[in-house]
Amino acid sequence: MGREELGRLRKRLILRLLVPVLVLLIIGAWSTHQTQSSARPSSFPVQAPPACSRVGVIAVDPPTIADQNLQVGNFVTFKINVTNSCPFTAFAVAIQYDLAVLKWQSIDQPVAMNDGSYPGTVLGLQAQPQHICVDGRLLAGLNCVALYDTSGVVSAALYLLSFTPTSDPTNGLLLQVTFKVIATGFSQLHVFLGVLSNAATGAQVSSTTSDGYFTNKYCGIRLCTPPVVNLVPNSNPFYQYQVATFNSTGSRSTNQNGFVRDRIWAWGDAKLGEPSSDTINVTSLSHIYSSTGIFYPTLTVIDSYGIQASKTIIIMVVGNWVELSVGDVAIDHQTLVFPGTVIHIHSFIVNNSTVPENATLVVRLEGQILGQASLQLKASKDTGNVSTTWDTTGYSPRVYRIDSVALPVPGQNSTSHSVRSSYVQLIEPRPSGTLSLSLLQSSGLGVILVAALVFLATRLKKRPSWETEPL
Amino acid sequence: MDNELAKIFSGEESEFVDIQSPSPSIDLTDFRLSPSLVPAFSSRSDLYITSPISEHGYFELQFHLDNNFWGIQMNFGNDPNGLQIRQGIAHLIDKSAFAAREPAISGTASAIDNPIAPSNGGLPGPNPCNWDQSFIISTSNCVVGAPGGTAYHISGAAGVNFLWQPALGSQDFCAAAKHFVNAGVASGFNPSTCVLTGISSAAASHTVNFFVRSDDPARLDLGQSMVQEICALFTGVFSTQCSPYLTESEGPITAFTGFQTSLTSVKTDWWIYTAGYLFEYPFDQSLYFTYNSRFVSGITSIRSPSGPCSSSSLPSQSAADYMYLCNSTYDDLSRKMEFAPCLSLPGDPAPGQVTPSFANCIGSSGLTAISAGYQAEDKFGQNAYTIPIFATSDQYGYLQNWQRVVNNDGTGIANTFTWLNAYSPNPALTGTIRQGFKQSTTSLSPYLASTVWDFYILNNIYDSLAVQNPLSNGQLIDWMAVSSQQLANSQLSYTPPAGTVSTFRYTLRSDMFWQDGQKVTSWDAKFSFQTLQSTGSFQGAQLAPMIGFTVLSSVQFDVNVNAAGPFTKLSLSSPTIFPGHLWSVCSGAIWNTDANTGNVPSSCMTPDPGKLAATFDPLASGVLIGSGAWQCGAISSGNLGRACSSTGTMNPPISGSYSLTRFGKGFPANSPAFNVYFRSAGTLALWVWTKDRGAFTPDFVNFTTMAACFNLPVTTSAPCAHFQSGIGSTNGTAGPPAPVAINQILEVNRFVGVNWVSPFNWDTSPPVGLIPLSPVLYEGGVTLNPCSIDSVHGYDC
Repeated sequence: MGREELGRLRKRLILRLLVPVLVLLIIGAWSTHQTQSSARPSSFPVQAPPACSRVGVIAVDPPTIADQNLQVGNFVTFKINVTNSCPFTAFAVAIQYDLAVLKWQSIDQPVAMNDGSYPGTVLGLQAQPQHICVDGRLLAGLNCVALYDTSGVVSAALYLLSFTPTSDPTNGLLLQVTFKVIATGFSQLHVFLGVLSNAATGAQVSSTTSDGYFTNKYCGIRLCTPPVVNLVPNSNPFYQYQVATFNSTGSRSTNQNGFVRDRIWAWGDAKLGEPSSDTINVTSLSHIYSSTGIFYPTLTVIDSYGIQASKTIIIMVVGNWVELSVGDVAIDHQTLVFPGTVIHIHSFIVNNSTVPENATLVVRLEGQILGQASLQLKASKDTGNVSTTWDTTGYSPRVYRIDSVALPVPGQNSTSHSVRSSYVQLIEPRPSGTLSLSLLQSSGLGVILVAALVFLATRLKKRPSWETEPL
Repeated sequence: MDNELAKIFSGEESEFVDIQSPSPSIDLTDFRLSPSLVPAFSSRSDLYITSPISEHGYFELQFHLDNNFWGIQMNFGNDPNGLQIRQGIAHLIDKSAFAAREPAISGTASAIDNPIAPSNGGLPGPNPCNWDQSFIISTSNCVVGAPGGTAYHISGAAGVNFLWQPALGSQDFCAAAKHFVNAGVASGFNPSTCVLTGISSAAASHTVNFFVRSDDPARLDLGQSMVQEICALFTGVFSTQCSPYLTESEGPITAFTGFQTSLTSVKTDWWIYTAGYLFEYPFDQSLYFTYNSRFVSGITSIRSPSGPCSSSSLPSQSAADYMYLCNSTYDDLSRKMEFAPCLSLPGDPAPGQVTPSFANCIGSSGLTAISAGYQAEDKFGQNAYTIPIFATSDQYGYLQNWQRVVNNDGTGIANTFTWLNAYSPNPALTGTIRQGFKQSTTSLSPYLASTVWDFYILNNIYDSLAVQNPLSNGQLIDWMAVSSQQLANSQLSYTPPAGTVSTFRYTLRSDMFWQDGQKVTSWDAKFSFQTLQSTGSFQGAQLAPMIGFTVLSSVQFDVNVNAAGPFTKLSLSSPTIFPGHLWSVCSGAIWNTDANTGNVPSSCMTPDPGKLAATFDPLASGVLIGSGAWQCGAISSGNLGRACSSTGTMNPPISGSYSLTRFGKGFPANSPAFNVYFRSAGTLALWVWTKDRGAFTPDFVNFTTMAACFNLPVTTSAPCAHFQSGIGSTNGTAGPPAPVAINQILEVNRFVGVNWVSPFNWDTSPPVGLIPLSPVLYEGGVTLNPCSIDSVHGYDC
């Protein structure tokens, strides 16, 4: 490639980026004018808007186009409307349709005017496209959305260069799409993303979505209708790295003698090395989210006629603190112990996590497992314990280390207190004929003798022999 | 840094001498320090030494498995007499003694019996004690997870010229003799010395050559000692030549001819080689991608049904299975491992078992990858297809005036993340990081590259869809892709190619450009994947299960696969993506026009034939242009893609060098995407400044909120104040604050939905070892401080 060609290439790229910039600059000048004429305050923060708690509805209109006469070659038009919403300054919607039945023909609204604006939606004349995409192809704006813009998806996201939101309540058009019918069949118009944003609050505006469908096909004696899809999380929010269970009880076919043939559970996350969905016809399924954030899991139900419908819900996965700590460790004999003594060890584990944990506590004698237990611990300081013994018969005199270990669990934030070490000192057995070891160790006299020995050792400032052992 | 200089040495020893000299010519080494150097490096205040890492690599003796050894045709590893020869040679070294007493690795190495690194992702070694049916071993080591050095080893070596050599008449030496007799190489052996007697005439007329790598002291000693042992077997003398039975050749990696395989024949110009591997993680990289006959150079005469090699193999000039191992049972086992329905379950083989247990994946009749991998290892060991010798724990040295050198989990400091991140406030050569290469490259063609050093350069210039976290190789991070998903057929909106069982959907970052200014598109990925696969290239092996490539848009595509397992996403994500407009049979102008109009036809998905030639030099031809952090030459100098070696060609000789330039050098840190690397430090600072984090909804709310700040007066209040200063603002970090203009809106919009570390979350669940947000960043000579350090001029203020 020569330099001249490179030069042309660069020019094309610069032009490609500059065109929307110039358009926006023109609008920017106009917007500035509007700002001045409307005497917007020049200092921030802007005045807090009146509180609004309504939940708007983003819905397909009409919800149903069912007509056997609309065969191949006909056109159908759907609108996506918002009703009864709190004010907003931007929206993003995305709908999924069946490419085997419908083919995108045109975006009727929003469309670009010569000045680069996108009027025609509820946002009015000044709306700008963040993106408008069909089948993963960018029609306007900068980028389609990696996670959901793909074949079979129409999406639009528009915004205002202004803190002044729509009216209260807001009702109006977000998107209007015309499709060409290319086969006999059924296509849900599934609104899987609907986001309303208000710059004045810097927050999302509450809304729900409502789907629609097109059909020109009979399922039995009636035109096909979509399955009922239920998707209910057993908790919201979920916790990162914890099992999240979803229930689809009540999902059913609505067609004559129909039944649910399959369920596709798309989790809304991209988990490496594993499918981000499971296809399994069960009414309840679990998943583990390894990231935090807002996710849009979708259940698609396919009935025995092959008619499918999806439901997308919004869940939040929150981070949690996961920490298992070894608490107290009680050992009945630790110093000046004669081999042959049976030592009793009680180790405690504390769940410092904000979530319940399946914990495993292990008591090891220098790598050898003396005891262990699997414990189901509730969140916030629940405790469990392991009680075990160590028969010291046959062990040579020295200092032994006993570790109580809380085995790591997925997502553990801290392991700094997951091991606690204790020490037991075995000493040379007394010559035969002296006081019985077990008697000495188990009697009050034994305790007094041990205490006296320790005291003497301290007073004489002689280093105990076990201090030279490796720790 | 602005420049990267890779200087070529004759071997690691000369490299170590250089870096210890008063005026070193390199800043970083690329090979593990020999144990004797560790104290010296540790005591020097001007040198840093890394903490040890368990290398994701191993060293072994390899055989050309379709060559003739002393009259015995190996028949792709399937001839029983060939097996006798390999098992005999396996007895001629005490691996444990070698690992413990070879000076270059003593104290850092461990013996191995399997062709995987000890740190491999969780696959234990088989019980090897009955691998040699002529000499079954019975010791306490005969368990799953047996220590390396147990296989084909009867007793400790007394040593001859090297401490690990079995002496004449020793049990292992005699076992070797017995195997050679079993093979028919000789009719008997001396009962006291076990030197062969009655050597066949065919043995004398089929001389074997042993190629010994001379650039690595450990492998040099290994090779020389083995040559002496084999010679002693034939002659009774531990000599380094014993023609006509054995000759020895010594040389660096560039002198070994085995890597260049033929498209038309089985090239038989080598016999035994002291091989080494790096980047072997997880364990399937060797057990499947190296030794499965899918990756042999599959000429018709050796492919099934004519021969024993996989019918799926393709003719290749850089086949991974250059040893020509073709065994259908091994192929089947390693394939089951690669495409197992799951990775592991509690019933898998566990260390300490005498007889291994195996587990099937839940809801499947298929073995877990661990169980199948164990069986593949076992088959491999029984047949001694290679003789694995040792693996190491490594420490690396570099000059102490360098920061942010990344000590890769398994491969050390020579890696793309070091070259991306390393910084020195006072480099010896202004603006330059100087990396030592103990060997030169063998080819910079993406179709021919196969050595570690080839990919050191290529991975600087080209990117891949995802990268392994350098500090935890088990974590895969989207790189060129901004998202990636695995989909079932039922989730596709089209009918995939016949045989598709699963599909991997990738969406590219939309702000990636080739260094010549053309945009990176899905068609570039399609061209790279399809042509790497169809040419049987070394890299293309990773794409083995791909049976379709479906472009959905200019930034989104599907890779359709006929098998998928726990490792598939990692392998699909690793090949380099290179520009179709420079490598296709279609000219650059045609390709670019097609890409800009949204459809590059299938007819363009064929490489320019001239660029497939074994001698093609992309550097000399001026097409060494990628999308990566480093570029060859510069547009401004009129030599982009061509002017980056001391010779003007690829593979510069000893004392030569490569000299790469930062993609974006000369441009400000917050420059438009087509001028700078899409993952440059400046771009990262910009991403942090935008407050976008990759989840669409919060990013969209963030974007639309900032967009409302357009043209408003400068303020100190949220939300607009943030976007009126900082690296993305009109006046940049130099200030003063300025109203939000169109550029700021474009910048924040650019990163809506872009997660820098997808699928991880930098704030809440970051990849292992990642520095917390917001870090100090360096780009060229510029330091980018975060607001937490510089509250006035911080990049994210």
